Amino acid sequence: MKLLTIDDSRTIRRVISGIGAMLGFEVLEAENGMVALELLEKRADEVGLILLDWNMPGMNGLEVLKKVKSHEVWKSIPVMMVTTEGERDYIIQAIQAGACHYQTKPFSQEEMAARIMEALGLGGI
Amino acid sequence: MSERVILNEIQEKLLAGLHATLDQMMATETMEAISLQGMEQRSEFILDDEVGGLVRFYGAVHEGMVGVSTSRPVAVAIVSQLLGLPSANLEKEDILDGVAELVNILCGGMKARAGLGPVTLSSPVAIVGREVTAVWKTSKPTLVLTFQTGHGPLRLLASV
Repeated sequence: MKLLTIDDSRTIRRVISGIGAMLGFEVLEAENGMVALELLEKRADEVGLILLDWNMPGMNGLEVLKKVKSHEVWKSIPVMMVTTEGERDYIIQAIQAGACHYQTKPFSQEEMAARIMEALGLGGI
Repeated sequence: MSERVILNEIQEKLLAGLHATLDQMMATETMEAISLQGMEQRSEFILDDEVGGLVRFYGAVHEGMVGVSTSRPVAVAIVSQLLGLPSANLEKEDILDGVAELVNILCGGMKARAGLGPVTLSSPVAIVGREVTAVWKTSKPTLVLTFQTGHGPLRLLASV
């Protein structure tokens, strides 16, 4: 099982890849929504969790989330929003669109690791 | 620095939100202690250190800019901690992307804490270079908070 991080920030993708590696997961990376959807077309069966930024050039995270959750196959993949947007309205929109977890930036490595395990149904670390 | 700066209510909220977000970020991601050294007001939004970044925000009621300006050693130390990589392994692209993400997180945290209402954030911009000075003409004054980090000063700029 792999994680998929979708974030226009290379820094965040590398941080999440490092945390994923620490937990024993390979992490696939996409720098925007279009690249992520193309990747899912080919490799959705490998992806166990999507970690999704909100503010990205082109398609934003909410639009990507809605695409994923309206897809016959992809909709079963849990999605965690990982974003600077911490206001209630954003959280409600994401949960209503099908996100299972919502993590605001900044986050510690320990915090993110615990959230990933929780989202995968593997409990805390 | 010695001149007292009078803030309006929204400026106070914005600066408090920025300060709290920076504190949280340094504590959780870089584990580096920082202290506020002072505040000043400028007529222009200028990034004149070796490393800078900014995000614009705009909504129906409020619009403005948030920026960060610092030396390369401070930026390298922060990005190094963020990525968990030795500073010697960082390339210019890492610094650019790391500073862009830093200012993005600061502006996002400020927005949520200051209660600015519906506000959209621009994509972040980052600048690295010794000979670069970037100036934005704004109708509002720019407030500058100077923090001391373990590697030197870091300045937060806010115009609203």
